[in-house]
Amino acid sequence: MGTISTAGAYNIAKLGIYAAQKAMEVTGNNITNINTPGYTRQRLEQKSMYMGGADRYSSKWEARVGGGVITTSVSQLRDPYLDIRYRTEMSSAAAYETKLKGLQQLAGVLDEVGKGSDDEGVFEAQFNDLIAQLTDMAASGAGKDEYDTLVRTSAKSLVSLFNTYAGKLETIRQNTLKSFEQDVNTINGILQKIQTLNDSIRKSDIHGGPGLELRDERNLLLDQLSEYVKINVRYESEPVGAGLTVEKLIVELDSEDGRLDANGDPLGNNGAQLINGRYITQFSIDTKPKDPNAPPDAPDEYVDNLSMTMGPLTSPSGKLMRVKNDAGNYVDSTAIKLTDNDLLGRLQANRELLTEVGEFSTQDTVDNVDPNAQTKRGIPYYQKALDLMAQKFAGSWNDANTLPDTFLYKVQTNNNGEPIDAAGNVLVADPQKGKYYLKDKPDTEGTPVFVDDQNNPLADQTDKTQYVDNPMYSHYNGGPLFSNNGNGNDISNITAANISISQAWATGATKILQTKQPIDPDHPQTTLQDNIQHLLSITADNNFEYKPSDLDPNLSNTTFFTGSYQGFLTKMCSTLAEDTRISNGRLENYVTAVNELYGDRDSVSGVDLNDEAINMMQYNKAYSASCRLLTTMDEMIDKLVNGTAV
Amino acid sequence: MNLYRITTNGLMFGYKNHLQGSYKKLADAMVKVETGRTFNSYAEDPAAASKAFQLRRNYWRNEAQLRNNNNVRSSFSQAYDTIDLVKNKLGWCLANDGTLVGLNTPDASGRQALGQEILEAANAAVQSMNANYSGNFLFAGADSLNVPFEWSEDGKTLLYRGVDVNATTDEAKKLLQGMVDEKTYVDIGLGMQENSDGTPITSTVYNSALCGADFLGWGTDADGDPKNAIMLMKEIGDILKNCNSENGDFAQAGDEERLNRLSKKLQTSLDQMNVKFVELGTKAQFLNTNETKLKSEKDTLNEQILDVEKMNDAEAITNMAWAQYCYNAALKIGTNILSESLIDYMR
Repeated sequence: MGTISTAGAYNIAKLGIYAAQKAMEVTGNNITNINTPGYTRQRLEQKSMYMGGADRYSSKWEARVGGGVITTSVSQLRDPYLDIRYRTEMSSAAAYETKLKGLQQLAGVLDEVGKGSDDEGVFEAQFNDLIAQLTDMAASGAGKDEYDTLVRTSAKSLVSLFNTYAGKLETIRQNTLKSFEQDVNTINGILQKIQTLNDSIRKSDIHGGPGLELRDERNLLLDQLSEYVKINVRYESEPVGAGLTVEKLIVELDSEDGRLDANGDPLGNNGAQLINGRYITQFSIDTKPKDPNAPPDAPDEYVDNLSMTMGPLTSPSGKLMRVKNDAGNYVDSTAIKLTDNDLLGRLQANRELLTEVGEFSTQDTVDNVDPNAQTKRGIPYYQKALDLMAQKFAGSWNDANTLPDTFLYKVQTNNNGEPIDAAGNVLVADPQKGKYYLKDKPDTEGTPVFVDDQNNPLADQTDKTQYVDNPMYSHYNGGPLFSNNGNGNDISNITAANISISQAWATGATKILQTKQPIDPDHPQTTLQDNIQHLLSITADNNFEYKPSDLDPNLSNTTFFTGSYQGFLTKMCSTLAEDTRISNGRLENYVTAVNELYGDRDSVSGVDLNDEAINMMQYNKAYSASCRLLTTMDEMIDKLVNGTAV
Repeated sequence: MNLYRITTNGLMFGYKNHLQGSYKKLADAMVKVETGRTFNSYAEDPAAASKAFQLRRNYWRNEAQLRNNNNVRSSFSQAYDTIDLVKNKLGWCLANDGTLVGLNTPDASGRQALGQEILEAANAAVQSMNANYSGNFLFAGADSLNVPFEWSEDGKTLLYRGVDVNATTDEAKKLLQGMVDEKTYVDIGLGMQENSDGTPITSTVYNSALCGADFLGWGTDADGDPKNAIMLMKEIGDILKNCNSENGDFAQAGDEERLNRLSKKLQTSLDQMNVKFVELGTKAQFLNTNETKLKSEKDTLNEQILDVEKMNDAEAITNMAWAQYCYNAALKIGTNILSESLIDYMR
């Protein structure tokens, strides 16, 4: 405006004072919040007031002057791109941190380095002790009970180590499962908090407030959320009526291969959303259908692969969100079942620790679920590997110590005393392998025929009560040495948790078999020890083939390790160690990246005392200047009012 | 950290991270000094850890093999002494028997007494051959919990593990041959390995079985005479004992001729025993050499284990001192950079 009222200039000074005061408040807010986590520094937006419009007395030569300063808003200094990068790196860092913690717990059980007396290790030392006892027995203890006792005592210690380790691994698994459940609860809690904040921010926006502190809180929660799952954060506009729009937060899962529908096509806009404005999902772990025979208060069991489901998008009052489906119609939001690689971040890391079985994966898993399943190893892998080791150990010792009934009882022989099968073919016995082979075809197994005292075949070949003892094996005191229960001799389904000294060995009914060769009872050979030597050989040196199908016939038949028991133990430990090293290395990389981004973010959004101090001085000066202007204006007008035309 | 704007907290954050990194390095260095090990977990050095455990397994095996070796050597040594004793008895017998001395001596009446002494020497030899070492009978092959040599009930025949040493029947021959061929394999560090059928590769194990019948001889020769030295002594002793106590005349015709013949055969038996005796000595000597080899292996293994696992003390302490220095320097800087800003200088 060309002309200005007499007192109009006061307004300019007043506005100046307001602006400086407001700016000082903002500076004060920044300084006091320097240590508030997630705080973004604020800045006062000022605009010069433009006095526009037509003027009754205007002229084209007059000078238009602005009307002072108006403070339009307080804004935040934040770089959203840095947020995106930070959250991406954070989820990887958190994932590796969780994985490393899990692996370190496993190492606490399985790592033998520096443990045991003289750093001999615990498991390793016990195996070595067993071998030493066997060696002594083979050298000078054959036929002597006290040596059998020494070997048995050493074996008992070994077996209880198996049990202990299996127990510890199971404890780790249970603890990790609890941690996983806790993670799910935490995520759900964060989502609920964000929902509340979204509501508040929306209201604040509608009423014209900037909601900066609320947004800071929300960003902090989003940072926390990004640790658990990898997320995509974006903002959309939401119309609220009368042409007004407010900002709406949308958070989606950022999965590795994008969201796919049932046909394998990308889902597009209907991606898996965690948050859509006021609507949020809730995560849950899938459970098995309830067993109809279970009591009503029995807890739900999770499915084996701990798959997860995201519930439908729900408002704070429990209303489902209306979403567009592929046909373009609006339907209620539905739950989404997540596939194996959808989640990345702490949640997935825990999940992988709890479910990945490495080489013990089924072909179905590799084909349909995760092609990399065979190289991912979690707690169950180590549990299965330990079980496999226990089974091989018990199985090979039991085999070495047992002869089948076809040797212990009389079988049909021809006139030359050679065993024959039902068709009359001559057989050759191989006591070492516990089998009979056809004399003409040494690779083909044969089946001898049980007989009575007169060398006549028994009518019922399976009726053990009719069997006649073979005197050449009257020395036989073998049998299973390990069973699945210390109170019995059952050798089926031996695992690391249940492997025990068989009751027969514990009571002395069975001993370590000295030889599998037949011995004429009239000419005893009390110190033959070829079988003890054989047992020593298989314990110390033998190259066993370890295949996943040994544990479960449905698994792969590929040998993934060939070596001795202790060699397998080393393989387990070095697999774990390599995994730990790699995870450690990756974690360090990601942590470095995270720290750098944190620093970058802080350099944009963080409060610097020097900065604020200079601002303070600046606004102080502006305030003084405005006050000075006021005083001067006052003096001037005073002159006009009181000193002119008096 | 961003180059253009470093905030108060940004500086603190960076300092905190670096200080913690420095402290971790110090902690790691301290652990190495305390434990004296180059690695304290499998993950720190998986290759070295695997190697270390393999070396330790070898070390345990080596100790067991040394024990075995010394056990076998001791029992062989005992056997050697026993055979020496028996040989001496045989030698004495030969020196004194009628062939060289008795037939020509004017004092033929001593024959009966000599015969008695020879018989007693034979008994003593049997007792010697039943020597026991550490709960096992030395010369009993694979039946060393039972006494190997016994006289038959009628006292006329020597039995080895229940079988007549003269082996007059096919069955007895088969049994005795089987006993002579018996093996008791032990691992004394020759690289013990098994064939695919579960039997040991013989060149990788050591046979510690000693068969008494093998040392003393067994079976009957073409003349129908025993090959066993003690049976020979017995028959010689019997012939002499049956001589007339007053004039030393032989009890039956053909006794003298038989005595001559048996004495020659006793000499042969003694010669054969000597061969086995020397063989035994060689075996014992081999075990001595093997012990030296095993001990040397033990030392090498020990060195290798220390090489892989043990930290050089000087290096460890130096590293720790350097880590300590860096940490102290970091601490000192902290107090300087963190305290002040422009606000402190404003009036």
